[in-house]
Amino acid sequence: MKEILTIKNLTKRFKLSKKQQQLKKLPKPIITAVDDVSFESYEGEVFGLLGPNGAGKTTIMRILATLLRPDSGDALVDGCSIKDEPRRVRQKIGFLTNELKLDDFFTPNYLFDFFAQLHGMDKTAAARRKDELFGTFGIDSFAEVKVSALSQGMRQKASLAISIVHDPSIIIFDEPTNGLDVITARVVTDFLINAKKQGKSIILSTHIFGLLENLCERIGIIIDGKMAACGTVDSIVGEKVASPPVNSATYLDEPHNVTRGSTLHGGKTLEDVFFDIYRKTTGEAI
Amino acid sequence: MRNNVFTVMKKECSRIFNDRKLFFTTVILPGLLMFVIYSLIGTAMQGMFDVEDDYEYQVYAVGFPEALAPLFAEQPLHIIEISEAEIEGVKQQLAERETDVLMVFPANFDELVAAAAVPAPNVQVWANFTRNESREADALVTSLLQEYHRGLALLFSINEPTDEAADGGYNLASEADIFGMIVGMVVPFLFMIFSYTGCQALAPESIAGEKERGTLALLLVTPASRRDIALGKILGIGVFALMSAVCSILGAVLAMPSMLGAGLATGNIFNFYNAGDFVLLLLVVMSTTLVFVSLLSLFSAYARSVKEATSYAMPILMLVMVMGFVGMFIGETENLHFFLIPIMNSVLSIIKIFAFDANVLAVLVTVAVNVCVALVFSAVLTKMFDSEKIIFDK
Repeated sequence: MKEILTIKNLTKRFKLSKKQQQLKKLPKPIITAVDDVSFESYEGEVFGLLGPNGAGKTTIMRILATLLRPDSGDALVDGCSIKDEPRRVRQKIGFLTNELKLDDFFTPNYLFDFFAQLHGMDKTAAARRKDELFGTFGIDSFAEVKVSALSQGMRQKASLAISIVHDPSIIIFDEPTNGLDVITARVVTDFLINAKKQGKSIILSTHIFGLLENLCERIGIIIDGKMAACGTVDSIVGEKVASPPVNSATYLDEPHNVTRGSTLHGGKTLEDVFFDIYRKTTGEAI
Repeated sequence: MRNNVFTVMKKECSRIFNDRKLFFTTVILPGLLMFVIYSLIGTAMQGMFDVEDDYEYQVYAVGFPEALAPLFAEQPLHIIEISEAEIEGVKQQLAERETDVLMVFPANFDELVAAAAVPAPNVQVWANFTRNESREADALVTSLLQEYHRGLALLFSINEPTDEAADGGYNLASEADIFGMIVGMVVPFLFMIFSYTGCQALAPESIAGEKERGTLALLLVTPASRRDIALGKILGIGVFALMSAVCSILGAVLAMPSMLGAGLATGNIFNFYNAGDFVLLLLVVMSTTLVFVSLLSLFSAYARSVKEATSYAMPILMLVMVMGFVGMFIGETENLHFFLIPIMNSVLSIIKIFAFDANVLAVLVTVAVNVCVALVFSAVLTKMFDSEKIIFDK
């Protein structure tokens, strides 16, 4: 399989203010958010990043989206270096995170056209893509309503459509269901399932073990900025875990139940393994 | 590249055009208010100082000389002769703003004048300047007395009306010259303030607001270069800041006839200047607006919120006002070095254009300097958009 994403020795440090340093009780005003992380992802694969809050997942995602520059190391997105060819990287990826918001003053229709233009799409291609995505996500009914008047779910649908306006081959989603109600979360998970079916390469960061277990071919566990484990779900869990069939209803279950559901098959769950790794790495009891 | 600049610029413009309230309050309202307020002030001031046309001034006089009677009879003056004993009573009336003027002539005034007495006889003219009629009557009787005085010792005359120059006709300044001088004193400074405040209303919202709402990052993950985004934003805000500044200046200029009370026809104002003057003025105004927009954009990008960006804008406004004042004090100058200083160069150029003394080279230097400064600022803004600390510092 073709390597679509190669991350090599990625390191990112942030300078802290005195106040932040005191809060974190660090000897130096510098924190290493990502520490020499390497992994790769293949074409058509869903790669999941798992880790506690502050582990460095979002920083890695932002580096891949070229919003942050690494202090050392590099990442190749479909052969393009994020350091040397950031614009080409941005042409290839679709990036979505809850932190990226749509402008309240515009309608989804206007914003779609705007981002299509920035992606260099001609009007005909943009109109065709809009028909397709607005139909898929049911945006037509509120396409001409200003974002400020939309519900959270409608906004997320519009954000989804806009983040993939240019039909990218690589989709990078950072905790896309974080903070969403179950109905809206379903829109996101349905989209991921369909994208996987279409053969898109997906890099996904989430806290939902069930989603990772059932959607991802391979998983990377990030703890304290370091890659604590990386491989297929099976290789990480250490024994074959019977996966429920891929459908959105499974993911929409409360995450805890999903993983417990997996234990019914007799093996260790991803959640169990994750906490084992976490305890070993940090020495903290949970 | 050009497409992306245009696309971002179009979005900025759409935002303001689509928001009717924002458009009205930032573009139309300042100009409208300027016109209404200045017109009202002008009308009120004229009303405050004017005396009704058919008013006859009440003039109390002690020892009013016969020789003056013909001169005073030609004016709307009602002379009421009183005795010395009544002086204090009339003064009291003056203090209470109940009458207009009291003239006190020394006894035997005519004889003393004829004998060229030393010391010369002194005529006292009492008035109360807080009463319009009293102030005007004082000016009138004083001028009549001076005229009588000149007639007595006539060695030469000054500005006697002739066929060539009627009353006041010795002043060769045209209506346009006077207008240009006054507008040149008022408008450049007003323009600085209006143009800056127009930018101030839009730039923080456009950049710091996008940062605060998390919409800027979405823009930054598109293939559009940071430079295109920075330029698009600056030009988009610039279009509206320019419209706002032009509306405000128009409001101020159109209200000028009411302010000056000079009987100027509003339509004439636009005949004073030719197309070339307007082109030069527009170039200066546009380039200055670009400086303001790019400068405020820098501070807006640095700020974490719209509130913080607005607080940064105030000290810069003070700086702009100081530069504007200095430019006004320098006034009309041919020294090109002054035109190398941003903001001040705009004030100097506008003064010269309004004073019908436009120096094309100076204007071109002004525009070139301003465009260079705006380009440097936009390059810095581009760098700032690349800085993760700036973009994610909340």
